[in-house]
Amino acid sequence: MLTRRLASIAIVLIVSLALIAAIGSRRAVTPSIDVRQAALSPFGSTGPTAVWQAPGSQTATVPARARTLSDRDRNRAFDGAPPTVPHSVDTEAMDGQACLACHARGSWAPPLNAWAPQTPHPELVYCRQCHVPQDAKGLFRANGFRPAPRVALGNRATPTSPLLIPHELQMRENCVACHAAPATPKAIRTSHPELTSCRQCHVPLHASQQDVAAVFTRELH
Amino acid sequence: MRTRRELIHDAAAAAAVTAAAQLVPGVSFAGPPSRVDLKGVRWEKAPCRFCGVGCSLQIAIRNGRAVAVRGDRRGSANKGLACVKGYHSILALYGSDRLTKAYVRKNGKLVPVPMKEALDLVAAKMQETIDKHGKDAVAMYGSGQWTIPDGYAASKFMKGCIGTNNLEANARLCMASAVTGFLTSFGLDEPMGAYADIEHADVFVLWGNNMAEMHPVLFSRLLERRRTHPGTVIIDLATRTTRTSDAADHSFLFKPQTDLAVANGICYELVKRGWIDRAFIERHVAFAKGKTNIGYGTEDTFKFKDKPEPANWDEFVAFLQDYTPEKVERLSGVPADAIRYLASLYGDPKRNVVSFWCMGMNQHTRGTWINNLVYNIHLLVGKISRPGNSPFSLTGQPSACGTVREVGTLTHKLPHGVVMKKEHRELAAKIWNVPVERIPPKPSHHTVDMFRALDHGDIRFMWIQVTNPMVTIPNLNRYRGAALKEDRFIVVSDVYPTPTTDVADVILPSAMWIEREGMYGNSERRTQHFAQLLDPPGEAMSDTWQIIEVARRMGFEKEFPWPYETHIRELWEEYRKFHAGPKHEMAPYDELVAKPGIQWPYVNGKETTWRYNSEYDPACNPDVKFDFYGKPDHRARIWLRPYEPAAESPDEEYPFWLNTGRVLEHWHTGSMTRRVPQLHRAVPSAYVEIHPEDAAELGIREGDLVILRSRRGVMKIRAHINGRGRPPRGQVFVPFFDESKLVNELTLDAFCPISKQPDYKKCAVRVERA
Repeated sequence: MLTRRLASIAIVLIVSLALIAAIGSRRAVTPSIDVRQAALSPFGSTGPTAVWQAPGSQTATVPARARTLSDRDRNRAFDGAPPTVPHSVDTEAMDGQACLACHARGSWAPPLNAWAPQTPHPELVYCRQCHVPQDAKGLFRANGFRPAPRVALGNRATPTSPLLIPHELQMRENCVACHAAPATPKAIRTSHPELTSCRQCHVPLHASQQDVAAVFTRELH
Repeated sequence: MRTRRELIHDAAAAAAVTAAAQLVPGVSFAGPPSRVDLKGVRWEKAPCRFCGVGCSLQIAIRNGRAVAVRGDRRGSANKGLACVKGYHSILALYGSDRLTKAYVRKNGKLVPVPMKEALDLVAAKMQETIDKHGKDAVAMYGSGQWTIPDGYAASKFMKGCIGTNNLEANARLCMASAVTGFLTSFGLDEPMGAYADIEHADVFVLWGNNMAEMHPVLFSRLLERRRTHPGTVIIDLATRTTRTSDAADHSFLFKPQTDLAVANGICYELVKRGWIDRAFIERHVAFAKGKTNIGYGTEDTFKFKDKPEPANWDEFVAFLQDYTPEKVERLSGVPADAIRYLASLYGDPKRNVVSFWCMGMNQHTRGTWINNLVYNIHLLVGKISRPGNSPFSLTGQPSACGTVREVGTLTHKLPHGVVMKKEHRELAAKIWNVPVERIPPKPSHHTVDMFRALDHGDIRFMWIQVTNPMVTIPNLNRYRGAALKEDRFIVVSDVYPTPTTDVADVILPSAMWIEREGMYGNSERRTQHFAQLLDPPGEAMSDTWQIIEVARRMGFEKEFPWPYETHIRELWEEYRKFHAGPKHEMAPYDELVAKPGIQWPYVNGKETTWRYNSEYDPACNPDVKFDFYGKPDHRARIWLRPYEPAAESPDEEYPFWLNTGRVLEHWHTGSMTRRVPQLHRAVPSAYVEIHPEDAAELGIREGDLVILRSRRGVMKIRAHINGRGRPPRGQVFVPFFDESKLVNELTLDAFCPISKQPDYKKCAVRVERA
């Protein structure tokens, strides 16, 4: 276990150093790494430290377990909102590479002892425009927002017909990212990942937001 | 189950589409954008509540509450994307301490009263102040977050009904230099180009503009342009290293205030190398110069009027000799080679160049000048008013352009033109149907001066709407004292308790954003309408309707005769008359309802994307390629504007520059975004960014409490080292969203003498470990 953790830390270090080298020409990076100081920071993340931490824990003690739909719901304000970042973020790198190191393909993230969810839109590289870490626990004031219930699963016309897509496709057009990645919750995992032309059979349950023109209906005149 | 309001709305939207189709035959209109899906969710369009980008959103409404947000792919600004603030914007409606009833201060304590009683009191107090001290003793201070009808009602009420020019808005603090820059260089306000320039550009030069945090959705468009168009170059010119610098291909740091020298240095190099468009200059440009050594407005008695004079090419070339790349390097710290490189980008005829800027150039004691100087560069090389060639002044607030600049909610402005011109007063009096003598021909107080007048007692009554000056006014200690003086009456319309409601004598609860109908106008001249989608909580009322209620109580029923159901349409259609004609034609109400947004000038059903170019702009003389018709001689101006130092620079006693600004997650003073859990938790409190070597010298470590002290105030705040923003040595930065860490108690109320916009980016402070 210990050797595995050391090995994983070494991998993260190598990745970080490569990243620092890659972006070094654009910005000055302080190479010193002080995880202890980082943990004391009121802002959670302070600089290019090497280890990612789950909030509130300095070392990774989260047991590996399958991600569930509730896990997925926990870090978003409503279905369709950009998920917040549940771990600390120790880089200000802007080209998305730091995030994509794990989230491009849904890789194993050793410090968190978990599979990273795969992004369905890796081409949008300014990740923190929408995805922000949560560095504090308390609230400024309570908030009474209530999201709509999550869309129901199992939408199909007959027991054997293909499932319909119950969610918006905007920025979620890469089906594989969410339905066939290692971090995919079991409830929404596809049974046939080898078939990649998903929308041959699965079509949206609701008209897309773009279909704003009034829908024509045939009447008997 | 659809409510009655929803059914009425649907019927109105359908009728609007039909009407719009009849108005513009041959153009097909999308049907009403709303639809009901199977989950009982109805999606409706609305522009984002926050910054000046003007993202088009769609809001999901279910059982009378907003439940989800998505980007509207039809939106010209965002094409379906939003930022973290936009996606979470609806949560800002539901903070547990929303103001739902009116309050009146009695014996020092705020006591809830019925809305009707509060409005009676506001009207009575306003009238009493006018009777006792004259009409110039009452003032209204609004916002670039006012909807267009809010601002228009305020202008008509203050200037047309009461007859005072005591009307200002917080956009004075953010856009005034952009306006005076446009007026002096082109004679008309607002950008000639559009966001569509991004997809035509090869080079982006960001002047003091941390676009990644301040205009994130547009910045993502820049990144997308670079990804899909190899060879695209993004240049960051800044005073501190930011996310924008990280993403840029090159980042050049200049010493605060020396952007003036950098811009002149680029012009020097362009002229010296002959990288200029001589034919364009000869045909479309004239030269001008004004006063120099113009002061900073820190004295209460300060008065300034520029004296523009014609200049010529030879004078311009002689003027530039002070700005050789080597001289500019000594002044600014930007390497001479970098100046030459920038000139080579601007001067390359094969590359299209867009310059972007916002607060860095506008909140500047020479804000008008630096706006002029960047226009100089584009005019020298003829890269203007063409797809992909655009000097682009970004705006900060959702309707700083739409409301404050276009409606003209500033002391010297009218919805069309200025109070100083007889024909503009006559037009206003005619449309408003009021006696022309009622509109005073002299401007009164700009924003800083208005708060000084409150201090002196020239102003005794102030009504503040949609803004939080007790966090944002520079040199805050002085002006908070002014508001708290005996015999001052402060009315505040807002949605949450703030430091400004703390000084209020009356608080009026406002309906927020989609709880009322309105329009915003964004940076690219685009007007967006939103319907009332929700019921406001409790007795909350739109700012427009508050103004109408008070105006009627003061005897102006005739000027505000409309029923609630149609008052926004009526205000819009009346306002639109001010802008009739191809230079500023606004879209009819019905078309605004039917579309996500429409860009003005909107002539014969067609938006004008590039102004001053006869290929696109119907107001141009069709016989010439370019026509800068804002100036009587149809020529844009190149101004001879020198470098002059900042109002206050670091010295032995106060050795650091203090810079202030925003962060991505928070909007302005945080009164809305801090009530959104996801945004608050992302950045829970303000901090001071400091260079690691300065920190080490002062014995300051990450998270330590630090004392910042200026000549005006002192604050304690935690240090943040190597975070998202990294100031150079000798500079610190504090964001202003945190009402418990009021950095504006330290800032200086110096302003650009031409625009009267304060400089929040430069003053001197001392830094110590607490």
